[in-house]
Amino acid sequence: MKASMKSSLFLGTLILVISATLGIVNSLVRPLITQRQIDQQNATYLDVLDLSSSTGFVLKPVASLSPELTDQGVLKILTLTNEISDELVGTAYELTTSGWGGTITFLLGMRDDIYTGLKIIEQHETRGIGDVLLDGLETLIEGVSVTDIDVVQSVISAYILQETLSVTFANVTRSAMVRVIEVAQTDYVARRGMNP
Amino acid sequence: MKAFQKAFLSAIKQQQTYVAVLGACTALATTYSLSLSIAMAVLLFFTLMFSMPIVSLLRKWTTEDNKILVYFLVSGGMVSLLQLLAEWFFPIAYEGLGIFTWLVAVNCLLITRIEVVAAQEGVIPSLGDAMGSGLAYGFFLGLLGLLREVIGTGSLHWFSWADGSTVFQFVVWDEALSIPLMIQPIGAFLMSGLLIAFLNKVGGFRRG
Repeated sequence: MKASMKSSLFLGTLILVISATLGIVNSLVRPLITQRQIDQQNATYLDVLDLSSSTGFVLKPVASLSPELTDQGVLKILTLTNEISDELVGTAYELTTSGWGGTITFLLGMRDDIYTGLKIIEQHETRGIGDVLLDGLETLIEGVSVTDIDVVQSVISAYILQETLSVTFANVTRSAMVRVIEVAQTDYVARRGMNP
Repeated sequence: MKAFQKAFLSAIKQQQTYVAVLGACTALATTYSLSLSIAMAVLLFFTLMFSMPIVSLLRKWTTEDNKILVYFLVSGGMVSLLQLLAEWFFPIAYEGLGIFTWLVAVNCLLITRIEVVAAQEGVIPSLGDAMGSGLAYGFFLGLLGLLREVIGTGSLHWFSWADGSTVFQFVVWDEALSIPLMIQPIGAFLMSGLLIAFLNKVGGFRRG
């Protein structure tokens, strides 16, 4: 047999063995990694819904979002329903908007009739101004009624004044945040059949 | 056993990382934290430990024409395998190391040891060399990571590779006295240069 033929056969066999090994390990490990990533993501959603575990509830993503919602910055919606009655208890939203410094992506949780949490995932706001506003929002919004978006507006405005952040940066970011929170709030109120 | 011991001690004495500055790209990129430095060292250690005996076993079929392909197939396959396991067992370390886990497949230290030792010697000396080279590399990375993190942040923080929780953390000196430049890329060059000079002076290692 020619040397080149032998070499090709050897390399082919080596490629096959390595590919098969990687394929087997991947098929064993990949589903576990994916499941863990889903569990971690769900834990974050449960956190903004102010729940320590999903016991007694079912947390599932809404399969398809309407173009109206996606156009307005809703990236993902997860509904929290009662395991027994199937009644909608809360909803977690992944939202995006454009602040002064660029894209802001955050999670927003609403359960029963209050905002349960807000968690910033991505932001590029000016240090000491926009980012202070966002940090403050994470705690300020908890417990605010979901039926009145004006409350959110006033909470944010009061915070801006309190922190003397009433400058263009903060106002642009504030308006952008309120706009997308309002979209989520409208959707949640409609899902729950509440009167705004 | 003698062959293993000889190869192990030889690899330690040769100090490829400080003398020939092999595998420096990953050493510079990941040593802003001690925890990540050791994670990278462990990844390279196991890549060496698995790749070198395999290349050694295949050396009878390896020719001048196909050797580069064989080296990269084995090292690339092994890195992919270890990456999968790292992603499963140590997701935080895997995420922290980022693209540099891929670069281990073409790490100069790994390829050099494969070419110089594994392709020429038997399985036992290859294992000895892999262990010696891996430990020497780990020592250098650990020292570099320790110095950069302490000088750059004023404290030492070891986090769990599995879940990111703090294993230990202690403040060495006030953060105001730290030099943040040291945890930046430029700090990696400065500190590794100083460390290599120091180790070569103290250890008496010389090129050639």
